[in-house]
Amino acid sequence: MLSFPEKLRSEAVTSSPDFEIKSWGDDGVAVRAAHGKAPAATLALATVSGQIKVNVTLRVVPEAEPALTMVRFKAASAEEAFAAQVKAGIEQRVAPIEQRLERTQRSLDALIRQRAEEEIADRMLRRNEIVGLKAHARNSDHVIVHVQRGLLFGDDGFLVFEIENRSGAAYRLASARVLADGRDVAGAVRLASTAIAREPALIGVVAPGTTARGVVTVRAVGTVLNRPLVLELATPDGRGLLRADHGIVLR
Amino acid sequence: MRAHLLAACAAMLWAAPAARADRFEAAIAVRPTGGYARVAEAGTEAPATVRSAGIAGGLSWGVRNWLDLGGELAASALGEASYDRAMVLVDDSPMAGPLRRMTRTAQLRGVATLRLGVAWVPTVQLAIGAGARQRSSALLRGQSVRGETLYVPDGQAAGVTLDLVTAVRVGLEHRLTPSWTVGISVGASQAVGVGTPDLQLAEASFTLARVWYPGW
Repeated sequence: MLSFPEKLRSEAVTSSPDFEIKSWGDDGVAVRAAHGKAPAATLALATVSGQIKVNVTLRVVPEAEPALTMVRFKAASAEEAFAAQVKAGIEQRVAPIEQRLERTQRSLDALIRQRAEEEIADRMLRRNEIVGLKAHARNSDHVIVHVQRGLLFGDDGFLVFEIENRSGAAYRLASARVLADGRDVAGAVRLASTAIAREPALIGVVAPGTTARGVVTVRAVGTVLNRPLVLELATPDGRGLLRADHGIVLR
Repeated sequence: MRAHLLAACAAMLWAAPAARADRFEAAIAVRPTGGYARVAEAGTEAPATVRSAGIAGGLSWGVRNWLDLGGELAASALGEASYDRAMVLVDDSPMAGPLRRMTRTAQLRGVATLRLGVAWVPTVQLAIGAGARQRSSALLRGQSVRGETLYVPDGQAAGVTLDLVTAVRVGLEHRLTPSWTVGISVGASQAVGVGTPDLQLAEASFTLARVWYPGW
């Protein structure tokens, strides 16, 4: 069965008498082979408007092979055809560019990783010491900060801290400062959040009843060695300030 | 600073249920107490129940949020115990009559406190230690040719004896600020006398504690 979206012309031309062709309504034809050994033949069809003209190759397939019993031809607009052509053309041109970009990205990632490893190794050679610390502080919301370890690593230092949230609300860490003689020497801060931080301004979130570990960088640690440091952690609204002001000395 | 705190703690010759602290925190506490005591006495059949009042102080260290360990020093003054009838020896002669005696105690205890909260903290405390019991001379009222006379029975003169002490206490603590807590508690202790009759105390108390993170 061949079906079209508009009326067919009455004449249909076939190259073989072995196929019987009958109209099926005014927009379709039914085709049937006269016998099981009919040779391949061509069938030419056209719609009344002339918008659709198709040549169909007819072939009798053995019973073991699948065959199409119904074929529907749809009209395609010129815009759609043009868009399809453009899309195909673009894909053909862009595909190699994308492949090259992907290769470049992979090599860039590897390069960045290598540079980072080299930087870490250089720092490790310059200085690599762990410092035990004993600093604790809590606020009135029962959120506690423990600072028990520092790290001298190359030119910088790091304070490893834990925020133990014993309150009933999440602790939203927005800022961390390390004060040496009143001067903020903190660099990058990271917190392994125990809850999802939806606000981009937050460093991290500590869910109620959990403890999260964080690290704050102390830039140019050589200038603050053997001096008491103060670690201040604060929420966005400034409340819930945690201030560990005893027991942090990197030496 | 630490030395001052330890000295202040030692200066409080009265013991209390130890202060309670979260992990890494130290606490020093003072606790006035009041309650009742059951005082047994040689030569009497039933212990006497008297009122007690005292004060206690302690120092503790939070090894976990749910457990702290410490020590406390507690002292109590007991009301005069009276016994309607005692059978005692006076100058190796048996005598019977009403007897009375005063007792004071001082106990040094090691304390483990189970803490079950954050802002409001139910507590369960177990303690074990040693104590000193100071007793006045027992006075037996009897009759002589001079009329009514007070005798001191043999072996019941004034003196200090040692006790082995166990105690249990339950309470509720509230953290007012990061540095201050208050609490109430009730408890009981058993003093097993070394060569002396036992002593039981049941007390209620109010606790005020200063909490901080020490640098040690």
